[in-house]
Amino acid sequence: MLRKPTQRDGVDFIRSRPVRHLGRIIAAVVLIYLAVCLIDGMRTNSNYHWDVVGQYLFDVRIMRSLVWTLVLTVISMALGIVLAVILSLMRESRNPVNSSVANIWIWFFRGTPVYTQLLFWGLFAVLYPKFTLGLPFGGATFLSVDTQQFYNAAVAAILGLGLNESAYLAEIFRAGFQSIPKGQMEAADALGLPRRQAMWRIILPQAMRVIIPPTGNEAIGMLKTTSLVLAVPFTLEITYVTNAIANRLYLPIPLLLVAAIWYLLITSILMVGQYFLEKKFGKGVAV
Amino acid sequence: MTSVMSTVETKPAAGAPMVELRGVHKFFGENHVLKGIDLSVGRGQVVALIGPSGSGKSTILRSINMLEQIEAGEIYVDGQRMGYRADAQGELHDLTEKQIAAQRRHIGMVFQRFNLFPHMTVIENIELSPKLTQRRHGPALRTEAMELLAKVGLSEKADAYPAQLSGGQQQRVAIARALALNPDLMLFDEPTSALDPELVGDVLHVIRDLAESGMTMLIVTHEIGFARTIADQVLFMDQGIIQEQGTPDEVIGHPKEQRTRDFLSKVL
Ligand SMILES: Nc1ncnc2c1ncn2[C@@H]1O[C@H](COP(=O)(O)OP(=O)(O)OP(=O)(O)O)[C@@H](O)[C@H]1O
Ligand SMILES: [Mg+2]
Repeated sequence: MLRKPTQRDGVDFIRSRPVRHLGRIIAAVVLIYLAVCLIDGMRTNSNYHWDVVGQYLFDVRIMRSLVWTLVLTVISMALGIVLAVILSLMRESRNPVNSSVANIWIWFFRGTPVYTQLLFWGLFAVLYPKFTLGLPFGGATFLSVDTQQFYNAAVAAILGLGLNESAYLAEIFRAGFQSIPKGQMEAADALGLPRRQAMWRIILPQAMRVIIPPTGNEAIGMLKTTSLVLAVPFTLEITYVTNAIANRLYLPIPLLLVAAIWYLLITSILMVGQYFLEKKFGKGVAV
Repeated sequence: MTSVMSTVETKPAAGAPMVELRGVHKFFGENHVLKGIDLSVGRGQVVALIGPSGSGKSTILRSINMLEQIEAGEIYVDGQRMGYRADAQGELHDLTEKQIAAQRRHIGMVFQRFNLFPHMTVIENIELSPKLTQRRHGPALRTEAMELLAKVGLSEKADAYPAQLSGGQQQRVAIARALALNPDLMLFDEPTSALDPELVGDVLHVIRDLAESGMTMLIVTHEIGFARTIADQVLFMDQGIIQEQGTPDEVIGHPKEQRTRDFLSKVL
């Protein structure tokens, strides 16, 4: 613990005994006792099969599923962010068609379970076997391809996760933009900055401060939501793969641990990233 | 200069005013806030705008640089019609956002609440608009920005963030920032009324220096004493109308209108 200085510039600082908080000390002792019990239990209880955990932690199938999990997370999140930026711009539009479409989109994707949406995207190719671009009501056709040609389980999973995410992120972005005082845009206008530059250099960096913490939560949520793409069905991500191995071995516990360890590790890395982003955009905040 | 210039009426004679408002009306919904404002500010002139709260002083300034859109009347800055261009048939067209931004660059504005960009240092605040709108950068720009900062007496604060400065220092940075594009006209909206009394003097000092350097200025202020010493013209405004105007001695020293006298007796 850091010791307080006892004097500076020849001035003696006040020295006093701190109040003892007996309740806190007891609570801490109890917590330490419980933690030791838990850890010792996990270590000695042979049902955890730590040897199996060690055996499969770096198994090539697990590694491959881990990469797929990361790919799904990153691409779906990126899709969500891009769509959410467009949605937030559409919502601010003075054209009622733009703002209504954005609001209906958000209403729909927030209002239905992501699992249901993933099932739907899984059935998309059945629903629309051919993908045709043309005029409605039997007008001219510009382009027609079999949906199968560009559509597979990975695309379905990314669409399902990304579109659902865009609705939540749009709300977060809006709150971020609304947190900026009106005077900031007015000052930018008065300086004759072009709108786009003002958004990019003045409004966005300040909104990021509000946007990053909940978006970090969303990224972590996305990592874990990828375990639902079994609904598509997409079967290459880590929850499905560990589960499949566990079923073959009749050993569910150690493979659950393998998945949990990897999820925790990635989450920790994401949190470190978030910490640095928050620091970068926290410049100039009054302390 | 810019493409806007060429499309807007002919260039005025040298004696023409820097700012001219003709019959300007502004409504906020049902609320008729400006009721036919005529005013003009000559080149190098300092005009002070005084009057009770809610009389429309800020709205006049904000209309001049199009932070508010007026419903009727004409506003000219340096002979350019603000916000519109007339075609050969005399029909008006709205200017694009880009053209409006270009017009605003001739006008510096200082707000009551400073509105500095909190995520940028002092020097970054000042350099931002020349950087983005004139594509300037490097040591020449830095030297110029530092000169502006010296002008407002804050050379040592170049790398501070706005939150680390007092209100008076922030307002002086805001003035330097507004000067960075070499505006033809400066608008001040109660630049000292958000400040602690002991900080007001430094800001007024900077504004006075600017006046002496020949800058054209339109200043909304509650500092009547300051208005009296700095202004060439004083306008007293009430209920959306300019009730009285003249030299400081006429309007503040010997007001003719009862409303002016009532107002001055409250603030002096
Ligand atoms: N954005 C706005 N929306 C609606 N009404 C407004 C808006 N801005 C100003 N007003 C109204 O316009 C009138 C004039 O406001 P303005 O800010 O110009 O007054 P002012 O003379 O600057 O007053 P003060 O000395 O308090 O700053 C007021 O009645 C005010 O309520
Ligand atoms: Mg005002």
